[in-house]
Amino acid sequence: MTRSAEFEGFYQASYGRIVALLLGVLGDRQEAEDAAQEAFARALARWPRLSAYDVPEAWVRQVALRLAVDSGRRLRRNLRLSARLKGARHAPPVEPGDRIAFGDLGGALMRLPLREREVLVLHYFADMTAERIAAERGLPPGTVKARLVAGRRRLERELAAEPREARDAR
Amino acid sequence: MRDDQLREGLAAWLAPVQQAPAPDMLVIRRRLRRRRARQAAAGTALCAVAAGAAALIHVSAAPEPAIIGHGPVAVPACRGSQLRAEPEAVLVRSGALSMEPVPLTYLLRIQNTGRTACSLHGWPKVAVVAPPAMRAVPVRYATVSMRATKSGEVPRVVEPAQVVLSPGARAVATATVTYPLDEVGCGNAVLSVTPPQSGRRTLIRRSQLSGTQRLPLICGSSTITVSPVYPASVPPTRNYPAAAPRQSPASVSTSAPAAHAGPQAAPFFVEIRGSKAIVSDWRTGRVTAVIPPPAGASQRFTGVAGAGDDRTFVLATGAGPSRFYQLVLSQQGAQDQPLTPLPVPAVAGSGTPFALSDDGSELALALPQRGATATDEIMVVSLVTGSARTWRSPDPGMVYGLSWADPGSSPSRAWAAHDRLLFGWNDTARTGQSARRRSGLRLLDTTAPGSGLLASRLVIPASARVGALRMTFSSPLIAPGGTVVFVTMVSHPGVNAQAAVVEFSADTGRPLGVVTPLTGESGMGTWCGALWADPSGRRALAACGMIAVEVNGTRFTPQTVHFATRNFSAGPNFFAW
Repeated sequence: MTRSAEFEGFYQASYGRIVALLLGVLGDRQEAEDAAQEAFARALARWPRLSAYDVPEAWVRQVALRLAVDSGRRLRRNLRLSARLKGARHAPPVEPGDRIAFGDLGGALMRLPLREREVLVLHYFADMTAERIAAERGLPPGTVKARLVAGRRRLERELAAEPREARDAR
Repeated sequence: MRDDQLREGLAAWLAPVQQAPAPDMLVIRRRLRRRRARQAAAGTALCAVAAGAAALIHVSAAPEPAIIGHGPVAVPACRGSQLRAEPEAVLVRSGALSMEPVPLTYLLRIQNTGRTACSLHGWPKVAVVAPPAMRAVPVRYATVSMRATKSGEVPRVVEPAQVVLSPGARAVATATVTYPLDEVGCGNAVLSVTPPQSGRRTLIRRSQLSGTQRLPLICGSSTITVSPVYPASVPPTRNYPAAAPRQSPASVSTSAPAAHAGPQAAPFFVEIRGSKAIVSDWRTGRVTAVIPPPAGASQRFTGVAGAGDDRTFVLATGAGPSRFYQLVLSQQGAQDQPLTPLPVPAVAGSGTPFALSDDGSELALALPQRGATATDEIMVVSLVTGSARTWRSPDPGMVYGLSWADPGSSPSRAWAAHDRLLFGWNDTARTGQSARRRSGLRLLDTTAPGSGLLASRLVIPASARVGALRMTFSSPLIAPGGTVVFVTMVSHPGVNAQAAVVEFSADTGRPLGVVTPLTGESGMGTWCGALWADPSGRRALAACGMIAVEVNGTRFTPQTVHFATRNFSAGPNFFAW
C-alpha cells in the first residue's frame, strides 16, 4: 500500500470521529470541520513520521482540539454562540446538514465552560479515561477528574433549569 | 442523569455527524498547499529578518573578527570591567503564521570594550527583574543535554565554545522565550543580562520600539532558554581537499572529507525547489547554482541524494518512472558540466526514497509495492555497471528513510570493507509487541549473499525510548564509519509534544546522547534531524526547528544554518547535504 493510500484510509476512517468530537466541544459544525480539516492537512504533511505512531489519530485529535480552543477563535466563537443563543427566536432557519439541532443536552452542554465541555465530551463521547485525557491534554489527572465532576454537576443544573431562552423571553 | 444516559444522549446527538462521509481528499490536499504557501511566505519573512539582524551585527562589528577556539586559548580571560552587554536586544522574530504562540528569540550582544583581546566562555546570566510575580519564570542554560544510561538519564557535560574577542568585537548569545497556548498572565517584564565572568548586570530592552513595548513580553508559565556565548561571525574553515573529484559514472569514486573536518567541509546542500534544484552554501545562504531539469524532457526534479564528498549528487526527475542524473559540483559549488544520465532501471516513482552511497557508486531505492499484503523492496543499483540487486521480505512491511555507511572509510574499521545500508522497517503483518520487535532501524550488508530483507540486523528497535522520547523513521542518518546512528525522536502524546535528534551506537543500539535541545513539535512541519556527520560520528550538524547545532565530541556549538526547513512538497528526498 502506498503512503498516500495509507493516509487516505486513515483519513476516511477517522474523519467522522474527529469532527463529531469537535462538534461536541464547539457546537458549530462548520468550525468543527474547519479545525478537523486543518489538523488532517498537518497530519498529511508529516505522515511518514505519524504513520510510525501507535495511534496517529491521537495526534490529529490533539492538534484539532488545540486549533479549536485557540484563544482568538474561541473568543470569536463564544461571541457568535452567545449571540445565537440569545437571538435564537430570530435566527435564520438552519439548513439541513449545515448546523445540527442542539436539543436539551446539546444546548445545556454549550452553556458549560469550554474546559469542562471538552473533558465531558472526551470522556462520555470518545470513551477516554480521565488518565488518558490527562496524558493527551497535558493536564494533571486530578484536574481532569475535577473538571469532569464540576462539568457533570453544572450540566445537571443546566438541564434541570428552564431553558435560558424562555427565561430571557419573560 | 446517569452516566449511560449521558453517553447515549451524546451519541444520539453526534452520531449523524460521525457517520457522515468525509470530504474528498482533494480538500485536505488543497488546504495543505495553502498552508505550505503561507509557511513559505513566513520563511521568507524570517530570512529577511535574520539577514537584517546579521547585517546589523556585521556592520557594527570590529574589523578583526572574533574567532572560535577549540581547547585552551592563550588569551587572558575577559574581566568584568571590559565586558558590556548591550542594552538593546535584537528580536529575531520568526514571522511564522501559526495557530500556536511562536517562541521569541532575543539576540544578546556582549562587547569587549577593553583595549586588549580577551577570551569569553560560558553562558550569560539572564534573570527577570520585575515584576516580582515573574521572577519565578524558569531560566534554562541549554547546552547540557542528557546522556541516557542503563540507570536512567544523567546530565551530559557540555563544554561551551570559547570565544576570543579582540578589542571592540562582540560575542552573542540567544535568549528564547516560550509562551503558553492560552497566554494567560502575560505582561512586559524587565530582563537583565550579566555577561559570563562578569558581575555587571545590564537591563535589556527590545530594539527599535518605544514605551512599554520595549520590554520583552513574558508570561507566568513561560520558560527562558539561554545559549552560551558564541562569536558574532565565524570564519569558514578550508580543510576540504583542493581537488574536486570529477569522475564519470563509469568510474565513480569520490573521496570523503579529511577525518578532522567539521561540517564546514561540506558547505553545499542541494534543495528541490519548484521544478529546479538549487545549490546553496549553508554557512552563508548564498545560492551557487540553479540546476534546471534536463532539456527536452517535460520533467521536474523530484528528489536528490548526496555522496560523502559534498560535491557529487544524484537528482531524480519526472512524473511516472523516475530517471536519475549525476550532478558534480566544482569547488565553488557551481555546475560546470552537464548532468550525466545514470543507468538506473525505470522502476521508481516520483516519491520513492533513495540514497547515494558515500563513494557515489551505488544508489539504493525503497520501492513501494501496491496491494494489501505487499511489502516494500529495496533495490541497490551499481552506477558503475548498471547491475541491480533487490531485497524483499516474505511478510508485508514498509521501508522508510535510507542512509548509507561505508565502514571502510573509518580508520578504526578498515577491516570492514562491506557497505551497510540503514533503513527503517515497519512491520505491517503484525500488530503490537510482535511488530515492534521486528520493526525499527535495520542495517543491511549489501555485499553479503541472499535477498532477504529481514536478514538485516535490527540496530534500533521501534520500541526504543530515551526518557519520554520515542523513535521515528523520519530521516535517520548513519555516520559513514557505521558506528553512530542519528535518529529523530518525538515525545507523544501530549499537548507539549517535543522533538530532538538522538545519537545511538550502531553496535549496541544504545542511546549515546541527545544532540539537539528539545524543540516543540508545533505541527508547523519544520525539519528535525541530523544533516551531516563525519565518518566517526563525533562531528555532526543537526537542526531541529529553529535550532541548529554543531556537535564535536562533547562540545556543542549553536550554528546559523541557512537552510529552508519547510519545503516538504518534494517528498522524502527534498534536500541533500
